[in-house]
Amino acid sequence: MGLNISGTIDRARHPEQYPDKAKGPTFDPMYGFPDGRKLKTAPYTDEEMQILNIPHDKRDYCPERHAWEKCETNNKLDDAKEYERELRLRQRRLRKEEIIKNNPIHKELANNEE
Amino acid sequence: MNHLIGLSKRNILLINRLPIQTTIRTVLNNREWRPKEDVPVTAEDRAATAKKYNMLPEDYKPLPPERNAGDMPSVEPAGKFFDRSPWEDYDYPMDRQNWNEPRHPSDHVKYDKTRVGYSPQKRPVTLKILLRLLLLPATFILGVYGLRTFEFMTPSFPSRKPEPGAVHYSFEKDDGSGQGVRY
Repeated sequence: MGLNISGTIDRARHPEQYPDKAKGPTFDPMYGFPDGRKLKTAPYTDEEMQILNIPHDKRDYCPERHAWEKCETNNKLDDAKEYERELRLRQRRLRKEEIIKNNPIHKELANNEE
Repeated sequence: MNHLIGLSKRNILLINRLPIQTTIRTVLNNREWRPKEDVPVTAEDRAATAKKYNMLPEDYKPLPPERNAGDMPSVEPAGKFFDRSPWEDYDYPMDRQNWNEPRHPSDHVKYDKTRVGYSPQKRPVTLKILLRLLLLPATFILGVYGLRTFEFMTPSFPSRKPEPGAVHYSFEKDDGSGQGVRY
């Protein structure tokens, strides 16, 4: 609970350090993955989901009835990992900007990503 | 045993610290102390009954005849415990009553000092009661909407749905090895 409270205060004071939940990931998804990343496939298209009368809450990547729980937990883990990735990349960028401000010699760091 | 020592009724009660309720019960159980069945009419009788009940003659008022009470005076219900001043010298200071004081029958229950005092005259107004009732839900609702700006930690993005234009990746590697993620 203490980490919660201190985290919210820090997020209120330095909002640029933390990812924006409404926007989602802003960095390039493939940055830092030399072997690439697999695509997430939706098992049904929009029309198929409409025909099957799946409720709107459950029209995501996990429609299988029997493996739904496991798929759901995996998706939540992925969301948490994306958040953490976004957080670390943001803080890294801010640190780089600090270094550049203090030492103008290290300008090559500025164009290292994106 | 007390009658052997020659103490008066009042002293007996004070020494034994009998509560005032038992005095009422003992009075009514004793046939000699019950009220008479005839309502007094003449001035002398009224003065005598007023003296019996320890009241002033002009204060004595019999109850209406349908109550079938006979002699008993219609006493207003005593002020509640907290309406009586604490600075007087009572015989029973914890109850704030005096010995041989004419009392209303429901005094010991309805106007007990442990009861909440909401007489019709002193009851708070309906609006006040309603405001008191709504205080807690209002603070709760305002608190929830006020604290929503502070997103307490769930350090994850909202779940992503398969939209037509969006492309979502998992953390697994693309070369068919199945590595990169450990669920």
